[in-house]
Amino acid sequence: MRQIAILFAVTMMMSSFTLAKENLEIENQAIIAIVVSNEQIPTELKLSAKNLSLIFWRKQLFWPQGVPIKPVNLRSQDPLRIQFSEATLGSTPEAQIDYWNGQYFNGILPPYSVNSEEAVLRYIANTKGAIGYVNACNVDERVQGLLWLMPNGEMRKSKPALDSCVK
Amino acid sequence: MQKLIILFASLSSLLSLCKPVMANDTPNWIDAFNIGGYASTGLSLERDNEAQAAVNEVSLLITWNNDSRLRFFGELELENPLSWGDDRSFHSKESKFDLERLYLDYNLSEKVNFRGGRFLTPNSRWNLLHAPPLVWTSTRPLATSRLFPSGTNGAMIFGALPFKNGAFEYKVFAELLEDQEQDDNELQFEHVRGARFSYKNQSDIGISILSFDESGVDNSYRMLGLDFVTFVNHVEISGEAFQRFDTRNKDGGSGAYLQSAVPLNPIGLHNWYWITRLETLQRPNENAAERWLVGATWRVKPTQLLKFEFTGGSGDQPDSPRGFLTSFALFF
Repeated sequence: MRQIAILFAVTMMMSSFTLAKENLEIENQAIIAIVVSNEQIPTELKLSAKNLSLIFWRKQLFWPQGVPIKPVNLRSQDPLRIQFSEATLGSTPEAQIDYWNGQYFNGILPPYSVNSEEAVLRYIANTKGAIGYVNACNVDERVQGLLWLMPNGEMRKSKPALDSCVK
Repeated sequence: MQKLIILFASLSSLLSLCKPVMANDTPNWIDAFNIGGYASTGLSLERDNEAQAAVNEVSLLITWNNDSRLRFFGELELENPLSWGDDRSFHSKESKFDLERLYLDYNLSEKVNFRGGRFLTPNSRWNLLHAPPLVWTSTRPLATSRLFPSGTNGAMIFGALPFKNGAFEYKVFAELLEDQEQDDNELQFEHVRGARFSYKNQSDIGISILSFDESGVDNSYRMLGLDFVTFVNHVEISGEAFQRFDTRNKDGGSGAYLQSAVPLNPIGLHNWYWITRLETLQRPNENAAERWLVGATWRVKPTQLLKFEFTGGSGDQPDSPRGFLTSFALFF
C-alpha cells in the first residue's frame, strides 16, 4: 500500500512537470451578443450572466412565462463557441464532454448545435423560446440582443459601440 | 440468449418510433420519447479465479419530455446477458432484467423540482454517475457500493441556484417504498432518507447526509459523505469519503477512495489516461479491505472507453476482485 501511495504521489508530481498548461486564449476575441427572438420572448425579459450559465448547463429549463428554453450552440470547435463557453461556463467545450455524458445518463440532452452564425439566427428566429449567441456585428432584425460579452469577459446589459464591424 | 433477442427486438421497435423533430415543433406524446443507452463488455483474469469474459450489461435509457414541466425517465438494464467462464462456453444463466430507475419529474422552477419513483440514491458522486462509459475503471470503489443503498424508491425535491460563476444544487429525499425484490448477495437497507448539497464550477464538491437501517445487521446508521472532482494541469483528481455513525455508539464503518486520471498526450498517446486509485473500506464486524489500482484508459470516442487495469490489495471482496481486468464501454 505504501509503495502505491508513493506511486500516486510521483504520478501527480510528474504531471505537474510534463503537462505544460495549454494556452487557450483566442486571438482576436469578438464582442458576442446573446440573442433571443424578436417576437417570441418579451422585450422586458431580464437575463443575468448567472442565469445564462444555468441555461447552457441545462439546469434552467423554462423562461419565467413558462416557455421552454431552447439554447443553441455553435459547433464545439468554433472560436466563438470556445470564447462564449470559457467566459460563461468556465471551461472549453472539450472539457465538458464528461458533464454532458453524465447528463445523457440522466436523460438530459445538451443544447442543440449548429454549424454557423446564420444557422443560429435562423434557429432563434423560428424556434419559440430559443436563445443563442453570435458575433455582435452579425445581429440583425430577426433577433434582439439581451447581453453582450466583451473580449475581456465582462458581461454588459447595454449594447456597446461596435466600431470594428465591417459592413 | 432469449432475453438478449427480446431486448434488441424491443430496442429496434422503439427506435422505429423515433423521427426527427423540427426545432419549432412541440412534440406530440409519441415524438416526446427519446431512447438511448449504454453497454459494456469485459474480460477478467482474477488472482483467485479462472479467466472470465462477459457482456456485463446492456441498459436502455428512456426519456419522455414534450416540452411540458412533466418529464419521465426510466432505465431498464439487462445484466450479464452473455458470460464465458469456468465451463469454457458461452451461457446466459446469470442474465436478468433490472429496473434501475423509473421516475417522474415535475419542474416548478429551476429552484424547485419534484421527483417520484425509483432513483439513484444521491449521496455519492460515483453512485450518481456509475455507468461504465462515465467512469475511468472497470471496477467500482468499494466504499461506493458497500456502505449505503444505491437506489431508493421514494420522493425527492431538488433544484439549482446560480452562485458566483457556478451552480449550487440541493437534493432532499426519502424512501416511501422498500425494495420488493432483493438479490441474495445484495445488502438490504430501509427507512432511507437524506440530503445532498453540491456546488458545480470548475471543480465540483458535494456533501451528503443519510439516515438508514441495514437489514442484515439490524442497525440504524447516520452517514456523512464528502466528494469532489477537480483538475490540476489537466489531471483529473477525484475522491469520496464516507463515515457511518451507529446510533448505538458502536463502530458504523467507513470508506474512501482517491483517484487520478493523467492525460498521456505529452508522450504521444492521444486520448489515453493513466489511472491510479487508492481505496479503503471498513464495515462493522468485517475485516478491513484496501485496494490499489493502476491502469490505462483510452477514450476511443467521447462516448467510448477502453479500460485496462490491475488491482491489488488486502481482503477478499467479490465486488472488487484482485487481478487484471479490461473492458470496453459505450453509449449508444
